[in-house]
Amino acid sequence: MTVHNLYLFDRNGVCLHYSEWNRKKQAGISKEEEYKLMYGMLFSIRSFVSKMSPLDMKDGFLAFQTSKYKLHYYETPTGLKVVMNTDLGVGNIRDVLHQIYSYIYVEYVVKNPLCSLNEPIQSELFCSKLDSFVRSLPFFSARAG
Amino acid sequence: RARSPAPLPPAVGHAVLAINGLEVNGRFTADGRDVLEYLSSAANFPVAIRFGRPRLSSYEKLMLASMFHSLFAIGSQLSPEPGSSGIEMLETDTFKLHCYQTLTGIKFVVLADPRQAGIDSLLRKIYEIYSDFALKNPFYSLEMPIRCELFDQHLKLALEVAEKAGPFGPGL
Repeated sequence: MTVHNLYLFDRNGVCLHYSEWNRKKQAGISKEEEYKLMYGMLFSIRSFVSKMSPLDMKDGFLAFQTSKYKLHYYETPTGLKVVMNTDLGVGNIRDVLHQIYSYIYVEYVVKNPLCSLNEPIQSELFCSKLDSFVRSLPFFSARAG
Repeated sequence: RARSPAPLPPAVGHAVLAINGLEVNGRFTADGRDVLEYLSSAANFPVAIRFGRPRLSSYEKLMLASMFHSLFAIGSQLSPEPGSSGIEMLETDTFKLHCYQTLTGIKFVVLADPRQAGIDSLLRKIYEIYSDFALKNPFYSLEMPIRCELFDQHLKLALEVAEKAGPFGPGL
């Protein structure tokens, strides 16, 4: 089990933060283009899912998986989106993504007066806290690095 | 085990789906009567009305199918691992979407309850039915909507068998 990468988007689609741990393949486009493609895909999935749903939804889209990876999605009521790609062995990690929001983003970005919201996060403290949080997750394997 | 849907109270965005067990499509019932007229006549009471999300029109179905086609492709492009397929399973709190792409590029998509088991075998069964009753039918032209009675019958049967397996069931 391993974590591949993590994207953090604000409600306007700006990529606030990106980090990767064990990623073997790049998308073959610039990082800026990749963020836009990822956000666009999530935006379309959300509208697709809300049209397809047979019942009214509460949380909406949670995750999708392909033959090689699983994408986990969590959105706060303020529109902040946390996206984590892991391998297929990982189950529901909604609470983990919520912890990234409440323990790391809120603590080290929202409560930091030097961090302006709605633009990419520069704070080194945030990055190191996030990195150590993800590395301590039970499904982050030791060999991945 | 018969599973009847629990009656839902009307909610914003919902439409009338059935009156007294009679299907309703838009403004008209299945036998061609106007819904509002039917409801305004006292002779038809008491009535049981079923509400739910409005059904998708065939135009919307086409649009959603093409949308999924591109999402499938982007899903494989954004993969952090080499050699990934497109979206095989998409999970929401109300349903799971399972997709099976054959080697020739045909996609079969099934929407199911999140707890429903045995969908992978159902998808392969549907592929089998498609090959046997659509592809082998000399009157079926490729890449056109399938209008074959045998296909419909066997598909319905396969869905009923999968449905009976229920949550955590053994599947087909």
